[in-house]
Amino acid sequence: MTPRHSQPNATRPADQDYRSKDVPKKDMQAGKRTSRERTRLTPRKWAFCLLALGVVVLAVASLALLLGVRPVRLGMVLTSGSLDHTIVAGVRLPRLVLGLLVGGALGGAGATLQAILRNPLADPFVLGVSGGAALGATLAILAATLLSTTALGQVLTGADTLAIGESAEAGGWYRAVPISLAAAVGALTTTMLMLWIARPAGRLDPHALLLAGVVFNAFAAAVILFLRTLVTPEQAHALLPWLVGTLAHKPWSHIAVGAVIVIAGIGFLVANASKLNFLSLGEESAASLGVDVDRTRLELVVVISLMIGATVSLAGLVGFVGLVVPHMLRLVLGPDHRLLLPASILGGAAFLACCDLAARLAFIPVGTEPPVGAVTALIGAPLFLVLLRRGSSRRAR
Amino acid sequence: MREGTEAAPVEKPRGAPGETVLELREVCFRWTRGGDLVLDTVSAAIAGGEMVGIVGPNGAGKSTLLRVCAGLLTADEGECLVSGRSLASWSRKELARKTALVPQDLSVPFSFTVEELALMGRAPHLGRLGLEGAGDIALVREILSEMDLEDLATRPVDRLSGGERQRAFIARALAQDPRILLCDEPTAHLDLRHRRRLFEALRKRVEERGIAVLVVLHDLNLAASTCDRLLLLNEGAIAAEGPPLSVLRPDVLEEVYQTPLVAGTEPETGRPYVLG
Repeated sequence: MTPRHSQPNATRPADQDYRSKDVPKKDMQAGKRTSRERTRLTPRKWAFCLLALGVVVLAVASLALLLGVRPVRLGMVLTSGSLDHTIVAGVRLPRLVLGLLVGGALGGAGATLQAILRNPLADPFVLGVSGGAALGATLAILAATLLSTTALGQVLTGADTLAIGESAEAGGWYRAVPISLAAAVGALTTTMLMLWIARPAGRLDPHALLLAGVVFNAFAAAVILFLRTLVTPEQAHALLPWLVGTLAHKPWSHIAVGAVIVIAGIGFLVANASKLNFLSLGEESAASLGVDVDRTRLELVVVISLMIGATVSLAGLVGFVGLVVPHMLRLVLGPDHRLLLPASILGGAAFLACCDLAARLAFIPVGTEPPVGAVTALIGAPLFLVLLRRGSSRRAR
Repeated sequence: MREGTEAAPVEKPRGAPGETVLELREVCFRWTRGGDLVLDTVSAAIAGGEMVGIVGPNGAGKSTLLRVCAGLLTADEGECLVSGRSLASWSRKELARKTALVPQDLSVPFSFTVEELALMGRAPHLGRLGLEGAGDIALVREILSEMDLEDLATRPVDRLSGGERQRAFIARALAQDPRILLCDEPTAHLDLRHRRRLFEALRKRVEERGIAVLVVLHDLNLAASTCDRLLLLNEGAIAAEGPPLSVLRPDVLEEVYQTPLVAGTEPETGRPYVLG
């Protein structure tokens, strides 16, 4: 069965001889590294892992619906008109759905960015892509305010109530579209900037790219803060979520717009998952394996930007999901994006819903809750530092 | 001294060259508009069933030439034909079924295993779902053992030594089962034993399946002992072309490399040698 022996080779005896001397050393190394060994992707492994993650998502979702300030009883939830039903269907469900959408989009976008930038520390938030989206959304709102006397402005100013978003009557779905698009343009501009910075293929220190992202984040935050001083206090309050993300109080109509964009985007990413493997090996490898590099990369970047635009315009800046989730999953599942990408989407959804649940439950005695963006940053930022340090020490060796 | 011999002894005489699979017609390339010519009116034809070496001093344009052949760079003037069709008319996927590249850049940012990396070579041949079948896996196993990698199959590539990693990339290119194999300094990190195994593997494919191999090499002696034909590049232009004996002449080499050297013919094998 072993192909080794099936090939006639005149030099084989000498070769075997050499190998036999070499074997003990190799075996020792193998023993040392067995913990890192992994099986390649099979349809069975693929289905099993994704099914398991699906179960995790469902479990988190059920908890998120049932737990909260007011404990609900399952029987009452199903009775329409009851208070429990109203709480679950009217408050917790939209929040959960938004969390799953945003988390899934961020997880998938993170895994994709890591592959196309060939940088395991890439993340839409760390790279400033989310910041660019927030900046785009802010500018759109201000432009709408300035235009509020015109007919176009009338439609768009409806959009600024979306930012406040306190009431479910905040407006029809069409009001979510311009802000989402403005955020997507901001995200796209930033991603292009980062790709341009990373351009000298492979020769740039991967950490320099992250530094550029952090600097851009600071810039975007500064511009948003600056713009906040120019508007009325109500509008200033409305712009706050774009600095720290939150999933609370979004009307179904706006969530639906986000859902359409995110689900279409996820479909595109999953369909291109195997190309991410090749892109992560560099342009030359990807091209010689049959990938149209420039076109594929542009398509992916546009799709990610649309997804980030949609999530940021709904939930604001939620950081580190795209970093933490693919990273953890890669440790367990390996780097094959055909599995890693859908897994990161499911994992991101579960992770963000879980963080939001933690945020809701943590301060019940005090009667307040922190924004979910603070929770993800609390988990993600220290992990980022650990990974950064580990990456540097590996390079130094 | 078992390991002391040079790479695979070349069997002579060689089979008659097949039809031309790769042709360069007066190819010129510059990095920037109006900049210096990196490739200066290069014309060459490579046939199936031959192994052609590209040699020349640093900065002569060897890797650039290989990248133009791989379709990674587009010639500013002239054209490159694969199987008689202009490179521009090939889709990337079609081209990937026909040609494979062993790149110079061997960096892998994620922990793909050797087997996973080699299996990626099957990608251009897979169906829409991109799943490897039993045949693909068997082929890759065979190639891994050919490259002496079977013990390393489940190891992450990013934890391997330079030579092991280079062999993994060679395995990927072989798994592509190309008609034209382009190698950019494939022996840069290899020890003598693996260098020999590589050229055995290449020679086997050249002889048995009639593939064309175009390989950038630094070591003139290695080029002399392994290649059927050499292209000597100097400052982007072809300075000499032909069988090793006619290219590796002291007068030609001294002018191209601008250094005094000794060249001659090994009395036992009749192969040319060069001492710098």
